[in-house]
Amino acid sequence: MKTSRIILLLFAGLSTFCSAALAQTHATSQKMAPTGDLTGVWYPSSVNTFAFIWTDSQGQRLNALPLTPWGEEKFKGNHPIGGQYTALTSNDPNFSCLPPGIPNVYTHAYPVEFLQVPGRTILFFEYEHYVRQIFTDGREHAKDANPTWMGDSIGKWEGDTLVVDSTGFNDKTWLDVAGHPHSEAMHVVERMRRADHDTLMIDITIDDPQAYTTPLKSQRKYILKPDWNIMEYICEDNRVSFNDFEKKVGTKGAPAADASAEAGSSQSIVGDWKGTIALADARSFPAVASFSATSTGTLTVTDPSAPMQYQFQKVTVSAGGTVAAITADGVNFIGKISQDGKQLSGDIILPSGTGHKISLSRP
Amino acid sequence: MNHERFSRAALAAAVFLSPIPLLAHHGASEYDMTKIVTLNATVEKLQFVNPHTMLDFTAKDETGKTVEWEGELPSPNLLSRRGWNRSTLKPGDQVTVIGAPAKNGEKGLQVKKLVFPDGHELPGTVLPPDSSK
Repeated sequence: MKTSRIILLLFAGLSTFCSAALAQTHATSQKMAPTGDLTGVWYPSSVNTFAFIWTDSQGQRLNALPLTPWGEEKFKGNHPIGGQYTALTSNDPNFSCLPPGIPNVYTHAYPVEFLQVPGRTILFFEYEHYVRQIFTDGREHAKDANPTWMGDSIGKWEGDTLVVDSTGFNDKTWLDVAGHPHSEAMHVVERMRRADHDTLMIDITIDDPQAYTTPLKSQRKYILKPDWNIMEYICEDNRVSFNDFEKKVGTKGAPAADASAEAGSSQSIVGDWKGTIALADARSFPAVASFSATSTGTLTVTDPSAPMQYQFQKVTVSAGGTVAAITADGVNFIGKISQDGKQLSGDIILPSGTGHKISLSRP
Repeated sequence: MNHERFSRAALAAAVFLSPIPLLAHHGASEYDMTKIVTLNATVEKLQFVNPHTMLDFTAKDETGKTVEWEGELPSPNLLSRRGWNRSTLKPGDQVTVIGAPAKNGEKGLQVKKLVFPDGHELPGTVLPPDSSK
C-alpha cells in the first residue's frame, strides 16, 4: 500500500519532469488546442459546505437523493458521523485513512495545486498528497480499466473552462460525508473555470444509474493563494494517541461544564458599540452592538441584502478583558476589550468554525 | 421505508449543511459548540503533529484544584499558515485557552484561539477569511 503510493508519486514526479522536458517536441508535433490557465494553489472557500448540497439537473435542491433500490441498500449500510456515530464508530472510509475518491476529496479542508503540462493537468492535493492526472492529449478512456480510487480522467478545454470526464472508479468511497454511496458505474463530469483571477469554480455532475435514478449536481468554490506551497497532511501520523483522545471525548458521559470565565472585569462591556464586521467571504459591513447589565447583548450587521442580528444570551468578561458570549444557536463571540475600554474586537465564530472579524469602538 | 430514508437524509443535512470545519477529518460532533470555556492555562506539552495538533495543559478549577486538560487543534500545515510553529508554546508557558468543551464532560476541548499575556492572539479552529493574500 505505502510502497505503491510512493511508486505512484515517483512516477507522477518523473513523468511530469519528462513531459516538461518534451514540451517543445509536443508543441511542434501537436496542433495546440486553446487552453485556459488554472495553475496555482487553491484553498476551499469558507462558503463551501462540509456536505455537498445536491441539486437535480434543473438546479432544484434535493433534500433526499433519488436512490435506486441498489443505492438504498448500500446507503443503509453506511454510518456517517453525527447522530449516534462518532469518528470511532462511523464506517466512513475517510476515518480509516483510505483515499476519498472524487468528489469526496473536495470535502477536505486543505488546498490543492493545479499544475499544467502539455497533455495533462495535474491536481496535487495537500490532503495525503494524492495526485490526480487529467489527460488533455485527446485520448479516450481506457477500455475495461481496473477500477481505481481516484478514477480515470480525461479533459478538454472549452474556451477557458476545463471539462473533465471521469470513469473507472471503485465503489469503496462515499460520494459525501452523509454516506451517500456510488457504484463502479459512476460517471463524473466537472467543469473547472476561473470565475475571476482569484476564484476557481468547479461544477460537478454525477451520473450513476446503478445508484441514482437521476443525475446529481453540485458546486465547489476555491480561492487562489499566490504565496502558498502545498504542505504535508498525513492522516495516519500519530493516529494512536489521537485515537486515545477520540475515545476520551467521543464517548457518552455527563454534559459539559458551563462557561467558566474568571470573575471580575477591568472594563465593563455594557453600552453601545459601533464599527465594522469583516465576513468570512471577504465582504465588510457596518455593525452596531449593544450589551446590557443583565449579561445579554445584540450585534446587528447592516448587510443591505440580508440584515443579520446575533442575540447573545450569556456574556462574560474576564479580569483581563477577554469577552465570551454565545447565542441560542451556538454562535460564539470571543473578543477583547482594550485597556482604555474604548475598543472591542474579536471573532464571531459560527458552530461550523467559520469566523467573522468584528472591530467596534465607543467614545 | 421512504419516510425513514427521508428523515435520515434530513438529519444528515441538518448536521452537515454548514461550512467546512477545519477538522473536516472527523467533524466536531464531540464538542458542545453552544458552550465556550476560557481557561488560564499552564502549558505542559504541544504536539505539533498530524492528523491533529494536541495541546496538553493544566488549569485551576473553581475550587482551586489543578486539573489536566487536553485541547485539539487543526493539523500543523493549517496552523503554520496562521502564525503557529512547533515552538509556539513551551512547557510552563502561561496562555489563555478559549474553546468548545467535550459534550461528555471530559477535560478535552476544541481550541478556538489562544490569548497571550501581552494580548496578542493566535487562531485555532477558526476558518480564515476568503482573501487571496
